[in-house]
Amino acid sequence: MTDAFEPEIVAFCCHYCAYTAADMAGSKRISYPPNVKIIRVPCTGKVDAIHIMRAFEKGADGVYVAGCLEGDCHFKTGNIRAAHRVRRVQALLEEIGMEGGRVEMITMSAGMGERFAQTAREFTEKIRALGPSPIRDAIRQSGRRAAG
Amino acid sequence: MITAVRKSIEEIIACVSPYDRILLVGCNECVSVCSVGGRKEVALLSSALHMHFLKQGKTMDIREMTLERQCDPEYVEELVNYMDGADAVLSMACGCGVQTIAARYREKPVFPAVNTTFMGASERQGVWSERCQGCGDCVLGITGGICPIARCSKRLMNGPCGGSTKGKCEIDANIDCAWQLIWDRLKALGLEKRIEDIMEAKDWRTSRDGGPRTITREDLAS
Amino acid sequence: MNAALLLADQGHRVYLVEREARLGGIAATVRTTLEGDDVGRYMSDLVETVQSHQKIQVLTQAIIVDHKGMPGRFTTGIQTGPRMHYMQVEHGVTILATGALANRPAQYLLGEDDRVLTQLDMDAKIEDDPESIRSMKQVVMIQCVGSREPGNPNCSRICCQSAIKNALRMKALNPDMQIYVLNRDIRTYGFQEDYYREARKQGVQFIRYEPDRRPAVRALENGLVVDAYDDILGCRLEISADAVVLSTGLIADDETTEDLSMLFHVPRSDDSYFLEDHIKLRPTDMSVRGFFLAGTAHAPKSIRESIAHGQSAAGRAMTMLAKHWINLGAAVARVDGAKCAACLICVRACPYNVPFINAEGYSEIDPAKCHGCGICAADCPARAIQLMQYEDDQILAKLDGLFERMN
Ligand SMILES: Cc1cc2nc3c(=O)[nH]c(=O)nc-3n(C[C@H](O)[C@H](O)[C@H](O)COP(=O)(O)OP(=O)(O)OC[C@H]3O[C@@H](n4cnc5c(N)ncnc54)[C@H](O)[C@@H]3O)c2cc1C
Ligand code: SF4
Ligand code: SF4
Ligand code: SF4
Ligand code: SF4
Ligand code: SF4
Repeated sequence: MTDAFEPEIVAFCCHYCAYTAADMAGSKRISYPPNVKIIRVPCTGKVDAIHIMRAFEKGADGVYVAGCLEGDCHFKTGNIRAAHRVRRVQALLEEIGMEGGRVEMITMSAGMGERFAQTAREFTEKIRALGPSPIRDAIRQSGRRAAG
Repeated sequence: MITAVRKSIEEIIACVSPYDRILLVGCNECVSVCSVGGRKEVALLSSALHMHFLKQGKTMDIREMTLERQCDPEYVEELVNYMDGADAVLSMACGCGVQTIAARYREKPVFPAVNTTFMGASERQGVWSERCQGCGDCVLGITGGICPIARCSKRLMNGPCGGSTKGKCEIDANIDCAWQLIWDRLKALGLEKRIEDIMEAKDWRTSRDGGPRTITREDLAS
Repeated sequence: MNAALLLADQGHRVYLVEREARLGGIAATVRTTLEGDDVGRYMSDLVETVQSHQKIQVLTQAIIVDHKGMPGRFTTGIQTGPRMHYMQVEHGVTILATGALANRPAQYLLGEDDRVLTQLDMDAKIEDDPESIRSMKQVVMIQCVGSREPGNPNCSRICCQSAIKNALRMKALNPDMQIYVLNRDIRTYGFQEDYYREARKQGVQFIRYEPDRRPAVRALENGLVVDAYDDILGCRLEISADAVVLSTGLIADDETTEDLSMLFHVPRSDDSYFLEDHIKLRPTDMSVRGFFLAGTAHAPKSIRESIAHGQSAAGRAMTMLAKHWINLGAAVARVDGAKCAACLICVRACPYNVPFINAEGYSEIDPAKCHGCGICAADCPARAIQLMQYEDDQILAKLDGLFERMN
């Protein structure tokens, strides 16, 4: 494999803040890296630790959960719950020898299109620097073995 | 309720790495309630193990199951059809559950994924504290509803010891002194006099000291 | 007020909550529009109609203090009147029409020299003191003061037209007056362009400046001097003036929108205006169902545009009010009783105290009360709860979709 590494990133975005901010980035024509794939959830409080783990299992190089600013959660405490779960997944990844930094909690308000794009760029660069997830390589290799 | 904490993934990996097919079994009672061994934790552990072994170039076959109660043979029987497809069992129940599986499936290695910790009560979301040691001869009626065996660091029966300071235990300032709690409670009940009654040496044979215990209810047992 | 009137005319009870002691907002201080509408007369008629309307209850000197409920059934606590009397109002929808503030930045000697005014000041002066206008020989207007710059990046939309409006009115009073409009570009959109052309025809001079080469105002004993750089001629100009009129626009009422966005849990834009759900598809609805926007609380607008927006808000609100029941969508949590371990985690985690352990011994969630956040579903240790429309399977299928090409 010689092609340059393009990180695959999943962003769980809450409907009220981060997803609207992503929309805002779009309507303001602010570009953000295509590496970031958004999954919309009503609230970051809905993001289960299992969903984050499964994203890595399927080959994500990085995952972030993007919600409202602290105190601004449309459902009061969802973003706080989500931050706890993100910390838990970070610890779990470290336990199996992966970088905890591959998962992160980010907050923004609905109007922050620029921040959405900025954090998407920063996170993508951070993951680019970390390199491909070992799982992704392993999946490819096992796939090739199965095919060959 | 029985409480537990998950073992380190490293320790779990060391147990299961010789095998290729794992049956990972949770329990829907105590360990679900304390969020350590229910369906959710089974899925998380399964995912973590799966990824760990993938990194090693090994596709570990992990089947997830969660039983209503792992300490009852009938529920454990539900695993029978899956045993052939597994090289080893990893249980997320307390020690009772692990042993019930081990007793039923003698030919399969069974590993605990959690450390069973104590019998306790939940103080609030996410916080559990030890409350009972199963001594077999409960004294709560005399001690104002606070157990000196489970909650006094020295298991004193006619406490407090000299180390009780400002309501805290000398062993750990984060722990309330059980005898302070007992005194406060007796006072609140207007039963201060009780504190002067001498409790006789406890007969520990009803506890573990008398060897493993069994309860047989003649009216129920067949 | 326009939204209130429309809804009230259709038979709905409207509570009009006003922070000040009187109704009218900023428009009450505007005298006329570019098109020549008599704003003063219009506003006093409007206030009169609103205040005497049977279906409208006007609460002045009122502050919103608390809010709960769901679309179709909100309850809001309001303190009103000089004694801060507390009352609760039940309502089906909420329209936010809290406006914006007239910007008054301390630039170009504004507030230091009384020969420097804003367009709003000039608007009043023309009507109240026409003699002073007749005595002026030269007037300079400076556009985009405090707008389209860091801190307030918006075009305020109204200042170009206010400038042309006032220029034409001054010309009418004093045709010999020389008027210079220093601008970055003139934004008289739509039919307003006709007035711009008219102003040019009458000899109003439009001179462009670049934001990195702004004009400067100097105060002299016997008049003001404006130094400007004409981009087209490429030379410096020195214009003496009897008055300098600054086209200051609107600025978001940061404090108000912040307070209300916290209370109502509604989003704001980066520059502190309330945020619509979608810039093109839903410009009046907010992302929170049952909330609508009217006027400059949403973005800078002219009076005509604010009225149109108010009417649009009333129209959108009617779509909810006209129904006997509202479908809030099926995004509610549902418990599989067979899996539930009755652990109480959902009961404790729900921000709205919806789940409870029922008589059968498992958790139950009333779909009419559930807000659909999914917190309980993600915390349930038995994976007994699914949030409809966002079920685990759906999320995992999305992940599968994303990674399909790789694996
Ligand atoms: C300098 C200037 C010049 C202008 N010139 C023109 C012009 O020439 N032509 C033109 O067409 N337009 C002009 N406009 C624009 C015009 O004033 C606005 O479009 C119009 O006033 C917007 O109406 P509104 O109802 O949205 O807001 P507003 O008029 O601002 O009314 C908002 C109301 O909400 C109340 N309020 C705020 N917060 C709360 C709260 N928390 N609780 C209860 N009540 C609250 C306020 O007290 C106020 O009464 C001008 C604006 C400015 C600033
Ligand atoms: S196996 Fe252990 S955890 Fe499960 S029900 Fe029995 S005692 Fe509780
Ligand atoms: S006295 Fe014995 S049975 Fe009673 S609470 Fe204490 S340890 Fe448990
Ligand atoms: S301080 Fe209290 S709790 Fe601690 S050992 Fe002494 S009596 Fe027991
Ligand atoms: S969190 Fe899950 S297991 Fe616990 S009570 Fe609620 S539904 Fe039941
Ligand atoms: S989805 Fe949210 S509101 Fe509904 S019951 Fe669960 S925690 Fe409560």
